[in-house]
Amino acid sequence: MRTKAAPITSLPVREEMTTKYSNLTLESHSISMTERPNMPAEKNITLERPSNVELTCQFTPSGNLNSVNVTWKKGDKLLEDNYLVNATGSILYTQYRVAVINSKQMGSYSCFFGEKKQQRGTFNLKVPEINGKNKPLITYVGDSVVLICKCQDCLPLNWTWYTGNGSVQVPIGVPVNDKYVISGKHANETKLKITQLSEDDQGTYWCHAIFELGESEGHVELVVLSYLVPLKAFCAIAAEVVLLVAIILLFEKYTQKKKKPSDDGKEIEQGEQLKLDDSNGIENSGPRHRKNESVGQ
Amino acid sequence: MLKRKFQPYKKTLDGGWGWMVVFHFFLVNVFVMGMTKTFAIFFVVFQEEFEGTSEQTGWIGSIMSSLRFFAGPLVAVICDITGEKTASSLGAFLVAGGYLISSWATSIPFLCVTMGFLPGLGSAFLYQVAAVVTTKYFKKRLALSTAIARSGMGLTFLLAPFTKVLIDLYDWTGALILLGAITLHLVPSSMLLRPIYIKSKSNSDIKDESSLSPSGPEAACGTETSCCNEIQELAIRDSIMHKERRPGLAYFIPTFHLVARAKTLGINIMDASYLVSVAGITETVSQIISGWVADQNWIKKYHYHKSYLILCGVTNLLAPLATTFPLLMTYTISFAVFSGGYLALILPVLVDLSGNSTVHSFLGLASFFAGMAVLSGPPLAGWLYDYTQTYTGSYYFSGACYLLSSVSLFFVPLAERWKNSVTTKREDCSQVRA
Repeated sequence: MRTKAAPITSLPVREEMTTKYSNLTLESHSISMTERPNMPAEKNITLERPSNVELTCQFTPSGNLNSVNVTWKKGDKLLEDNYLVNATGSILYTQYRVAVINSKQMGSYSCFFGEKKQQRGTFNLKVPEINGKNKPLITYVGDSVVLICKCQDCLPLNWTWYTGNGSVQVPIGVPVNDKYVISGKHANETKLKITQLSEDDQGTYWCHAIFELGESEGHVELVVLSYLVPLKAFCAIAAEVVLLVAIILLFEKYTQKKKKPSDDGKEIEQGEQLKLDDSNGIENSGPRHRKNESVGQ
Repeated sequence: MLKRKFQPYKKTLDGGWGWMVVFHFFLVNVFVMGMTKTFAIFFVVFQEEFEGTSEQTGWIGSIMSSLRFFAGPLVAVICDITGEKTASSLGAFLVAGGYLISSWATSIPFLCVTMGFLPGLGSAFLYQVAAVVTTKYFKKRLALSTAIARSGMGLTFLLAPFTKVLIDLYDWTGALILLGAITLHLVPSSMLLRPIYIKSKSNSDIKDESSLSPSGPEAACGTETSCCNEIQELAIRDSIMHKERRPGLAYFIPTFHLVARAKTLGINIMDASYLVSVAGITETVSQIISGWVADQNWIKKYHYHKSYLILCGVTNLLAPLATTFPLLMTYTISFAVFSGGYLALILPVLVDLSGNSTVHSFLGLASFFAGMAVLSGPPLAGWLYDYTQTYTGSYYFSGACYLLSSVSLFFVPLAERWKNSVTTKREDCSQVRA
C-alpha cells in the first residue's frame, strides 16, 4: 500500500513480515534532512547478524507538505512497498522496514523527497569491517611471522586466508602443512603464522571473515628482505667510520712530526702526566692552593 | 697506550683545539639524549614484539637512563687508569655494541642487559669524559662552551622521525643495527679528545712533599691540613651533591607532565606538542645566552645558578595557576628560560667549586646523585598524580625541590671562608717547613 503525499493519513504497519521474523533484534536508524543540506545525508549501518531494520527519514520542507513526493530505492531499484509516510506538524516522516536475513538484503537504501529537486537520504547496510594492517610488515628471510586480522566488536562465523597474486586470490591452508598455521585465540581475530620465510612469500595476504550476512575482508602486506640489505648499509657506515679514524690518526701523526722537543726537557710519558694531573688533589697541596685562587672567579 | 711527547700548555686554551672538544661533546649530547628519546619509539615496538607489559618494557629505558648517571664514579676510576680518549672510545663501543647485540634479542630481560645496561654504561663514559675534557680546555668560556655543546639536545628531535623511517624500512632489527653503526661515529669523535696538560708549579712541590719523612711539627702540619682538606672537600661536595640531586628530580617532573596536564585542561594534542617544541627551542637558546652571560664574569657563577633555581622554583609553584593555553605557554616559556639557564651552569659551577684536578671524581659523585633523582623522579611524579589525581601536586613538589636546592648554594660563601682559613694555615705550615 502506498500513499502519495497524503499528509495526515497513517497506514497500518505491515505485520506479516515482522511476525515471521519477530525473534530477530530490531535496529532503528533515522536521518533528518532539511531543504538545503550542507552535508550529504548518509548513514552507515553495520550489521552482523540477521535482524529487522527500520529506516526512518524525516524531512522539513519549506513549502507545502502535501506537494512532496516520497519514494524509496534500494540501489537503483525502486521499492514498491514496505514503507509508510507520516506527517507531524511541519515535518514529513517516512519509514522503511526490512528483515535482513542474508546478504541479498544488504546494500544501499535511499529515501527520496520531492520530484524535481530531490532530497536524498542514504542508509548503507554493511557487514563489519576487518582491520588488517595498513603499513607493510617487514621481515627477513628465514624468520617466521604472524599476520593478524582483527574485528572490533564482531564475531564472525569463520575466517579464511588467501594470498593475493595480482587480482587472483589463492586460498591458504587448504593442504594443511607446517608452513602455514591458522589460529586465533578469540573469535574476533585470526592469526596466520608463516614459518621459513623466503622471498617468494612476499606480497599481499587477504583475510576473509564470513558472516551470515556476507563476507568482509582485510589485507596485510608482507615484505621479505634478505639479511644483506641492512648489512650492506651497516658495512658502508662502518667503513666510513674506519676512514674517519684513519684520517684523524694520520692528521695526528702529521702534527706530531711538526712538533719540536721543548727546551726544558719536559717530555713526559702520557700515563705519568695523567696521573699527576688527575690525581685526587689531597697530596698536591701546591696546585690546589693555586687553583683555589682561580675558584674565586 | 701510545707513548707521546707533549709540550705542556702554560694556561688553559679557552679556544683553539678546545672547539673540537666542544664538537665532540655536542655529538655526545645528540646521541646520548637521542637514545633516551628514541627509546620511546622502540618501547612500543618491543612491547608488541615480545608481548611484555608496559612496566617490564619500561625497565629497559629506566636502566639505560639511570645507569648513565650511576656509573659516574666508575667512569672516574677508569679514566684514571686508561686515560680519556680510551675511556670515551670504550663508551662508544659499549653503546654501539649494545645496539648491535640487541638486534638479536629474544626476550625483554635480554634487552634489559643489551639495550639498557650496555648503552647506559657507555653513555655514562661518553658523557662524563666529554664534560671533564671540556672543563680542562675551557676556563673563561666554560659556561658558553658547555651551553653550545648542550644545544645538541635540541637536535635530538630529528632523531625520532629518522628512527621511525629506519623501522619502517628495515624493521626494528635492521634499525638497531644501523643505529649502532651510526653511534660508532663517536669513536673517531672521541679521538678528538687530545690530552692537554697545564704546566703548573705542582711538579716540584709534589716531589718535595713526598720525599719528606713525616716527623715532628711538619708531620703534624701535613696530616692536619690533609685532614681539614678532606672535611672541607666533603662539605663542598655535600652541598653540590644535594644541589645536583634536587634539580634533577625537579626537572623531569614538569617535563613529563606537561603534555598530560595540557590534555587534562582540554588542550588538544597538536597544541600540546607545540608546547613541547617551543620549550625545547627556548631552553636551547636560553642555555647559550646564560652560558655567555656567566662567562662575562660580572658576578660569580653560582649566584646566577642560585637565582635561576629560585626562579624555576617560583615558576613551578605558580604553575597550577596556568589553566588556559596562553597561560600554559607563558609558564612553559619561562620555565624553559630558567631551566636552560641553570642547566648551562651546572658544570661550570661544579668546576668552580671543585678545582680542576678533582672534577672527575666530583662529576662522578654528582652524577651518582643525579642518577638517584632520575630513577626516582618519574615514578614519584606518577605516584603523586595517582595520589592527588591532579598534576598540581607534582608542580608544587618540583617547585619546592628547586627552592631547596638553591638553599644549599647559599652556604658556598661559608664553605669558602672555611677553605681560606685552612689554606692560610697551610701557608703557615709551608713557612715552618722552609
